[in-house]
Amino acid sequence: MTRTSRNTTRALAAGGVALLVSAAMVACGGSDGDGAAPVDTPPAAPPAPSLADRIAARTHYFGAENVDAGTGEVRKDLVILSWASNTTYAAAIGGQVVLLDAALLRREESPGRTPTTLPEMVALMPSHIVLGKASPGHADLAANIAFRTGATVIGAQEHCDVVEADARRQQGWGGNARLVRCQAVFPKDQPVGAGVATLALPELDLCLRAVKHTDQAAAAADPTLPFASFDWSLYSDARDAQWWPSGIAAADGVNTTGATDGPSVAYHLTLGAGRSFGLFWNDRAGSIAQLAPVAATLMRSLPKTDVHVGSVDVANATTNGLRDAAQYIQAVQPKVFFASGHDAASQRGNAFNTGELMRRALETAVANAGVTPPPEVRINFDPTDYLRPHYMTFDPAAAGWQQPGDKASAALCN
Amino acid sequence: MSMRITAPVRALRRSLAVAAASAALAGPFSAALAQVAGIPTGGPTSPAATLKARQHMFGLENVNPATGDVRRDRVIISWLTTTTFAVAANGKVFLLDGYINDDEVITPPARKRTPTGLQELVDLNPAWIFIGHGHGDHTDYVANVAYRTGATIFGAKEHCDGMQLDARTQFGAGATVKCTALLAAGVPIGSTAMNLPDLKPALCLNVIRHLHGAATPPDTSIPFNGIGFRDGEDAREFDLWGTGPAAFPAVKASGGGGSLSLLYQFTVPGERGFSFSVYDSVGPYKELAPELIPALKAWPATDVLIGAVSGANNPTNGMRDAAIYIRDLQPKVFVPSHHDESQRRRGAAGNSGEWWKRNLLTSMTNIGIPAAEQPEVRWLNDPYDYVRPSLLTFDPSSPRWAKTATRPQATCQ
Repeated sequence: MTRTSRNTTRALAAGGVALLVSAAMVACGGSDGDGAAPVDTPPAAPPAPSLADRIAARTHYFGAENVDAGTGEVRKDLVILSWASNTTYAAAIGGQVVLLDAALLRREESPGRTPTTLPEMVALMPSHIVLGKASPGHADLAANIAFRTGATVIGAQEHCDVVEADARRQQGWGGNARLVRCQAVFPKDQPVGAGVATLALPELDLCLRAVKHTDQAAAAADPTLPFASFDWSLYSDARDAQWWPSGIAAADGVNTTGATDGPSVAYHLTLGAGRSFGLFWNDRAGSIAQLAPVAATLMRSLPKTDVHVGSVDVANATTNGLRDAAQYIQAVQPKVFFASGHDAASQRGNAFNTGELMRRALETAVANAGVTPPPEVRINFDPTDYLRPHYMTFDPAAAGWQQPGDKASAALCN
Repeated sequence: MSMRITAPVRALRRSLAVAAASAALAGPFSAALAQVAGIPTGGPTSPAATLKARQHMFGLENVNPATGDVRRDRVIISWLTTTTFAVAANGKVFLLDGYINDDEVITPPARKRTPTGLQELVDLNPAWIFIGHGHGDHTDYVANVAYRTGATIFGAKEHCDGMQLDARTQFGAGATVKCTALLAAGVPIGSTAMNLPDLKPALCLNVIRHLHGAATPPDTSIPFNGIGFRDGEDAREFDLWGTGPAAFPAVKASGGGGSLSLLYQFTVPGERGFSFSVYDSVGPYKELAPELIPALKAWPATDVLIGAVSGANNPTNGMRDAAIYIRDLQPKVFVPSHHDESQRRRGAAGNSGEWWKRNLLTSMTNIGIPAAEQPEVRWLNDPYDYVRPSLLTFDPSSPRWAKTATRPQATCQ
């Protein structure tokens, strides 16, 4: 990341007025000539994974046809997302590896029902880790991976603080030097609705826009909509435990102590020539229409979204179905929607794969919300669709991403 | 009431009109014929319907919204049930087999388990239809779709005879379909036709007669690995999806050609010579047609193999036969088919796919394919992987498809 790009975080007010806000870039070591005080010597990161391990990991995550078998480079002309469980995806963008969240459900020492491990995620050698929430289930592995790979974490300032604290705890470090490089897109305590933060990432050839939202849920049934309720424990299937017996749970102490009531950030990425392709990702879903309508307004102001990967793991499913998830779709208006987080929700209910029922509940919610036209809903099923990158391989240059009536793309990153 | 026709639809209509005019179409463009009760007639509903069908089958992003053309730089394969697939390769749209399992009339709010049907096959407006063998669960809709769209059918002579009979049965005496016999009548198993000109310049085509599925005694040279058609069943499956009367009970194939089975190989011209082969019945040729062993070992390199894994031999020999096809053809990627129909008709749930996948993996190991030489298996789970093209979208230019000297690529000039 260049110094220029580090300092290009901007906030756009809802009315479209650009406000330059400070970019809080804290680098590993913290003494890169920016006037910081001299620091002590932090613990060194372990040696980088071998090239063979990197090639194997990237091939596993992104497909043999998309990874150079000799160098491990991922093809630059595609955007490839590989679902690692819950709301964590490894994304190949511009030939770089970016993690969206960094956590694994049922994390074990060896690949099991979740077919990957922390060492394999490290071997991906990501350049960035984008966090939507710095809490268990979303950021457990972020500090460890960032420390071991040098990846830059992107999130709210609170997320940066959590990841740094996690890294210090895991590495036993109490010195001055920071252990993790982190780019804050929002300052601490930034209220929801203050604006859209914009960050150019030229090394990824993308423009990132961030919207702070809420994952708080309104429990009362929405009187304006037909009553809907969804039970994540439906269709529990005892065969799952037979097919996927528990392995040895990872006991390496790698986790996060981030608070569950910390801030939530959703991201919009524009990619491709002329920024023609838009990807939106929210790893949490709250009752934004009721509790944070200004966040929904900001989402509506974003450039066109072709693919939306959004959490459906709502906290009020018993009283409002999947309404909250649908309201993100309503705001973002994607062409294609991929549900996310449904595996975590169903596993909490010991139901494991309830994908089909969830699809139906979501379609009902989308219809009730009056989303027209509704997006094409593409469901990934767990665990069979974990690390199956083919389901989420996108060519930003594909003709079909430009449809009559599309919102404008955003050629500029400001 | 007049309708405003948008520029994209006008362009799409022009595109389709050119395609229609350039083909010597039979079917809807033939002389008017007597309509048979229960037989749907007429060509694709509209250019907009063709666009919609192609977006459904091949992905919104891969179809030009103005012309309805599917991008030429990908091979996109969409599973439509059993061994029927819609394919877009080098811009050409075609079908492998032509049958839809559980194409039923479902009354809402119940949901149809199979997310496509006969009319969508017609709206897809395929150029070609390839018959793997003649049984109804592979060919019921072939003649109907070919007659209504002008698509050219390919098969053995016996298959073509059956298709002409089906056309007459459905559309009246004198009705014909275009059908090209790639192999003459009565040729023995192992007969081939190579580097055929019929699909050029878009694709090169090879074909070999192989063996239909059959039951054989347990193979005592390997561990027993039989699998029952009801293994892994889940009765809740029937609560999840509606059932109803067949949508088109009169659209049936006569079964011409019967179990005579063909394996096709399609090659995309280009540096990599990306190639995919497909067979729609899995025969125990180890015992019943061993001449296929050297023939398939000498078959040109196949990058992706789409093959039936379900057949009469499953209870005694598991998926050994499918593993033998894999051993001899050595694909980089293997895609199963036909397992949905076998399970479905016996009450097993679609989610029993995990059982079947593991049986194939075990079968490959049992017959001695080293782990390092086993292909990537992209299992298809029904019904969730029906019409899910992203799983089977391939870029023919990827270095992954480079060939080795020990297994040269198909001749494709």
